[in-house]
Amino acid sequence: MSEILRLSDVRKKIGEGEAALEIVRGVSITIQQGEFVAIMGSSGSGKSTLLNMIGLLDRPTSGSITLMGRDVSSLGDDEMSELRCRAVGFIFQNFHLLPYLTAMQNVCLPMDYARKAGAAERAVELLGKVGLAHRANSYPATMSGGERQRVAIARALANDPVFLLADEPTGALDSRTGAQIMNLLAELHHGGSTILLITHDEKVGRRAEKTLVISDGRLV
Amino acid sequence: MFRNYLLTALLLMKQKPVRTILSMLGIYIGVAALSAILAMHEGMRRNIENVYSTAGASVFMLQPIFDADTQQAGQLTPADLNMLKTLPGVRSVMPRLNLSRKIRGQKDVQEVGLVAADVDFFSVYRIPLKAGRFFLPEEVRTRQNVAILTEATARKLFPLSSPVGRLVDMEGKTFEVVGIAGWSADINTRARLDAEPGGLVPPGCILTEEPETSLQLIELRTSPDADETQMAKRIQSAITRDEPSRRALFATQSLREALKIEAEFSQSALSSLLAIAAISLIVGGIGVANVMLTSVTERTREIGVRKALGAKRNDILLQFLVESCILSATGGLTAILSVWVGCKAARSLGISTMPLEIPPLPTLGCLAVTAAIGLLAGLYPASRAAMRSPADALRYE
Ligand SMILES: Nc1ncnc2c1ncn2[C@@H]1O[C@H](COP(=O)(O)OP(=O)(O)O)[C@@H](O)[C@H]1O
Ligand SMILES: [Mg+2]
Repeated sequence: MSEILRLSDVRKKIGEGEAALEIVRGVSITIQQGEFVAIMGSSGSGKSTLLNMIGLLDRPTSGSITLMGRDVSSLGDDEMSELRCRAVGFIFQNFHLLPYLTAMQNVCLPMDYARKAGAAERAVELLGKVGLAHRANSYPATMSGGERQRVAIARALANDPVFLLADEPTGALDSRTGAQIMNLLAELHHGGSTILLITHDEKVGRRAEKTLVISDGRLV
Repeated sequence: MFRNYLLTALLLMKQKPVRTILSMLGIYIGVAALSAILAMHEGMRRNIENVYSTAGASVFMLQPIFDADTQQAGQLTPADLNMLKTLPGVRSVMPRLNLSRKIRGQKDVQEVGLVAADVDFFSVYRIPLKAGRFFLPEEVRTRQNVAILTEATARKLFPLSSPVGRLVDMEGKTFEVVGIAGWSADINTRARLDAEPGGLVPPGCILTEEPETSLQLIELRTSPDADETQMAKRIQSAITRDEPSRRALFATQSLREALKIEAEFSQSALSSLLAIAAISLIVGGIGVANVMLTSVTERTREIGVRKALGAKRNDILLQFLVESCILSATGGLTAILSVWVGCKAARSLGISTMPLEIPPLPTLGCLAVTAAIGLLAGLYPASRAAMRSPADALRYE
């Protein structure tokens, strides 16, 4: 097993001076290749803020993030985008599919940004993998929540990312559909994917191999 | 990738048709105004060119004028006409005369405007013949009562059959209609006539021989190789008899010169219109910028998502720039297209006296400017979009 991600004493402060608020207060984590980790915590505990920093969407105020042995704090915005594009697959609570694109076009987006050829074939293949081959040309508005999240998972897989980051992937779904999505993530994990998931739902958290708990910006 | 930007832009335009059309409207109006003015500009230029390429480009207009200093007015008489005819270099002279006559047609009597025309008149102003023939030199010389009707008048007076060869009554005098002229609005400009005449008759039929008859304008045609400036001087000195007191009483001007001055005057008037149109184009650009700003704000979350999926700053920047360029270029293209259609319609319906034509080069320039406006208008909104922090953009509600 090789280490793919290391956070050491990562902190995030929002605002300046009197109104400054430290949302993440010194988090250190390492994640190995092929792990399925859940970070649990109540709403407002700083989970999303932490996940955004791990996914290179945000920069820590202090501390360091090392991705695949590379310190990312020195990267510029475009280099972060480049790395994010190839290394990170995002799955969001509210799916965040673009409404004016079909399922397939949505899945193609990360590959377009990676300037990859053969995006359409790969998109069809991925949609088949999540059981949605027949909805390839459907628009998100015509799909159920579970279907949308599966399209989002196919999109997250598009560039063969180093790891998947899921921010409350079942948060907007009923418990049965949520369980199906968790089954899909577990399946991907068995297939070798590294998954980092955040949730405030015990039941969801229990599906992971390893559970970390965050409270008030600190791991406990 | 560029295809994707294009696709996205078109999809979004389709999704918000009203907004798209409204934002294009500003550009549309600006470009339409601009290209309509350019078309008029071009029309004038071609008018002048028409005159230059006329067989008798060396046409001079001699007119009596009023001298404010001496309170005297020049006087042109039939005798002057005969004198000018003998000037070296002068091919023919003709008094410009017009009057109206009541002509009896097939059904009723109608008042018709007549213009004097000699044999040269037809070739100088390139008047096409539709039926019959033009005047014969003999007919003009011996002042026979012959007439040529313009097409519209021929149709009005003789709706049932062709008037060629018929005798018509003009207030007691009998004229033979020998031909029908195809008149177009262009000819009015070329001959500097205020309106389309109903018919043409030899000058002698209208002109009375009394020596005190005063002529308003004498048209002289010189041989094509004669020098324009020298010819004007020669005519002027002949009519003033080189007497200083008469110098200010006559004006000689070549038709070319007269039209040039007129065109320059209207062109400078158009130039100020051009400035107004340019301003409206800028206003249109501001409209596009406004729509793009709204769009960027509305799609903050989308920007966040795209960045999360790996979009770089340039990807976002280009996407919004392509969008604003398409908005303004579509507005511009449709505007040019409709002005083009309008010009064709105006010409074929005979509404315009000018050969309206959208000039290709300035139009290309116009389109380039439109695209540039799209770029400029999109630049600020697009760079704002591109600079957004992805985490903040995703949090945006
Ligand atoms: N950019 C920000 N500006 C102001 N407050 C923020 C910002 N980001 C996060 N917060 C606040 O920090 C806290 C933690 O947010 P978040 O990481 O989204 O929590 P979680 O995902 O665990 O619910 C919340 O109270 C949130 O309102
Ligand atoms: Mg959250």
